[in-house]
Amino acid sequence: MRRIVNSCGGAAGFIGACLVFGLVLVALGAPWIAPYDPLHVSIENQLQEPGGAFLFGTDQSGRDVLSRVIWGTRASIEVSAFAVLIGLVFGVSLGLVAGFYRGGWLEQLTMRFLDAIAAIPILIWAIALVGIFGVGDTKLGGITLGNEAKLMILLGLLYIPTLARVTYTTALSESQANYVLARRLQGTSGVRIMFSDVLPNCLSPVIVQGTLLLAIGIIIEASVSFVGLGVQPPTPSWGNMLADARNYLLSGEWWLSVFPGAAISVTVIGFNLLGDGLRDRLDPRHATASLTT
Amino acid sequence: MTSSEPLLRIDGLHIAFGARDRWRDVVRGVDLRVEAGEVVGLVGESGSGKSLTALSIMRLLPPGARVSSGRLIFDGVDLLALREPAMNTLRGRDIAMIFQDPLTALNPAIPVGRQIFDSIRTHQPLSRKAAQARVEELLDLVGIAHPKERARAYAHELSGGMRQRVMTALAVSSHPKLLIADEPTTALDVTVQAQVMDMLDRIRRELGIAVLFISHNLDLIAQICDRVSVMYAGRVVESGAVEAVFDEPEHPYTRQLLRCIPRLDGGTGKMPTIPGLPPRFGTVLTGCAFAPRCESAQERCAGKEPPIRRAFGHVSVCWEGMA
Repeated sequence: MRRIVNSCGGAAGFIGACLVFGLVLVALGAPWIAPYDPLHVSIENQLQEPGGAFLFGTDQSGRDVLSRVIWGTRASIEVSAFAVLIGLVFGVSLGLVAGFYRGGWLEQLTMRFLDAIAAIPILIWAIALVGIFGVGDTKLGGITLGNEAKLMILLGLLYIPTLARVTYTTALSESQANYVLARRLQGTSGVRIMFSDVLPNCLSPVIVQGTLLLAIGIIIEASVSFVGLGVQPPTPSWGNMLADARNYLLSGEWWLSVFPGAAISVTVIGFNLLGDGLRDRLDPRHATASLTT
Repeated sequence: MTSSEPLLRIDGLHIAFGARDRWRDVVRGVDLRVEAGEVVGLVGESGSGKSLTALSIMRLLPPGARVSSGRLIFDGVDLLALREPAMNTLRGRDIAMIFQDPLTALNPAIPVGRQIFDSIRTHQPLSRKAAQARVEELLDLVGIAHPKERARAYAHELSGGMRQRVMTALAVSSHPKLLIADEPTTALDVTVQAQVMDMLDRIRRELGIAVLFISHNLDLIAQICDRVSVMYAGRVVESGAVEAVFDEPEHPYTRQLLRCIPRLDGGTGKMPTIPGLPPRFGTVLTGCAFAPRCESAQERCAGKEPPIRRAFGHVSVCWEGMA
């Protein structure tokens, strides 16, 4: 137990890890966990208070809020996770190359371009771009991209500058470390040093940043869905549930906004705690017992 | 290779720092020979150009530095004329190097055994299994107990002495002909220093490796080296067999340097030092660079290049005693 807690970077990190683990389970198990069909409309059950048959109550169409929150988890985590994955693949490669081959035009070109993108906040980009490409399916060559897929790719592209810069700064200092010179002295080629020596040393801040970006992705997905550009109704997402709940804020149906809102908060807190815990944990120099003679 | 040709020969090596059209020599004509299996010491103060000379042999000078003239012949090959891929194969395979600070020279994110493993696989066509066995063999050779377990350790989990042993294992992993040791024990405390020196000496005997040993510690040089070259301000001022140079130093700099070694029987009082500082980078040097600090400087020292005196392989560059 102690070891598990330590490997998450202390108690806070452990709580974060548990929350994230739970959310992933909920997202994966949505079809089995959700008590009702999240799309099932029943007028006779509309706006039921929490309790009884409907633990989180029902919405204006009589749909079960609990089931919708559970299915919403899936939409949020899916978008956020794939976005971070895309960002990681491209961002880390760009940052690594720019940092390792420092002092060339490649570095300048990459980093200045990324700076330009990063100058505008991600949320603004996301809303602007979704607005430009429009809601609904977009045909790209032979591939049809659904709204969620578009959101993932967009978010992923927008994550590239952040992740590239984190990798770049670390790669920059790591490539000047003595062990890189030592590897050159051993006759190892540049590309090999970059991937097998510099990259592993750049990963810790990248993992931490990636975890924090997962939290940001949740918020952005919710925000974009809230303004109606993200996950489209009737598919449930925390953002569009909140958008629907807006009409009932003052009339007393508090459960419509509280439960999806709480889901967002818990998820973001979970990822943030985990990210902070990993930050403490992932520095290899913080490690455990020394083997000294 | 003919018998008269040494393993490494450096002729008139000049290394300059600068940019575009402004270059200033920091290494100003170093001549050095290392025979196969021999240990040659290179002594000098910080900034005298010892490490630059060593890095130039590897052709890995820091950015902003370049070899401006001279020749580097290793094993009959002109290193300066070699293409980069060929040079890369030579690095680590034929010439290896260990540094002052083994912690920063080892990758913090990769277990030390894995690093040795990678280096072996770069240069030798061994199977994974054979390479793994070789890693343990090497760790055992450099005197690390429980090599199997230690191979899985990270650099920060090892003590300074163990790290330097690991570095040595890494360096000799592919049987180099020449090992450049750049102040390998400076970061270690004295007892560990002695152990590491013993280990180095044993290994180079066992494997028949020539060593270029760079240090500012005269005692260590005296212990391990066959011949020694003393550097001052980018130039070799005296060189010869260790006994000859240390017992009958001819250059005033060597004499003054030897006097600075603290001795148990030396009595109390102020430690002898060499007054003044070495010339700053960029100073235009005329005559002997050591003249301003030399106890036996004469008028002509500052004006004219000192002549090279040779006697039975003992070389010194000084006006002293010249007619």
